[in-house]
Amino acid sequence: MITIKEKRKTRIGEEFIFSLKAPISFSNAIRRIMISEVPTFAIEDVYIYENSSSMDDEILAHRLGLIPIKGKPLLENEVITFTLEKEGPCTVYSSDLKSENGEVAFKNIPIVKLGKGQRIQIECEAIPGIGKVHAKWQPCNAVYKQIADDEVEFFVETFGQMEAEEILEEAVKILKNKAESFLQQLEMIEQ
Amino acid sequence: MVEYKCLNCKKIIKLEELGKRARCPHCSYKILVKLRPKVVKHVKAR
Repeated sequence: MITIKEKRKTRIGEEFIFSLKAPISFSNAIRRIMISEVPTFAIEDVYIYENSSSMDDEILAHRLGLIPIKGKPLLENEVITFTLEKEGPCTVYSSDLKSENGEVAFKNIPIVKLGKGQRIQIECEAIPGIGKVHAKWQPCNAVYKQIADDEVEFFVETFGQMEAEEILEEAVKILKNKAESFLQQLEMIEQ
Repeated sequence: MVEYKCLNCKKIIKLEELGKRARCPHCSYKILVKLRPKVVKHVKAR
């Protein structure tokens, strides 16, 4: 049984506190799934048309990959395309990433500083993925403490991609699917 | 197509123009900077 205790907005996302009355192994499964198996969007493929900035292409791509992107993936092959075109002198922020079907979670993340005459022209594709593959797809961090026998209090810190409750809901769904597939496999062995 | 830029006269020089000598054909300056090739570079964001 889940009881929501507190929910507050922070500068980098949301803090969510709830208690869960269930066996500890179940609570730990939920925690692990929330961290590493709930799918989110993150930039994976970066196409660099021009980069005369002082930052290398690979470093720039890595910085772009770590920008949280809003939204819950519905399909496995969904793609959000962003374009970035800027000429110095200026600082390029995450708000300069333009897209028709997506949005960055925070608009004030600095990407690179451009000097006079320096220019970048980039196209990037954000795809769904899970935190187990790369931390850029991790939607939150979750910890818990035991408050009674078979009851724990969770503290979830999200990174802006999704609402904390949505992550929890998704994690429960994933755990249910895993349990069902495990049951199916057991039945197959028995037959 | 590989291109270089002379740091003295700022002219763009193609590899064919350069031949075997690493000198600017216009001003004989020895410092040449290789320019970024005009291709789209694909990088994985990891």
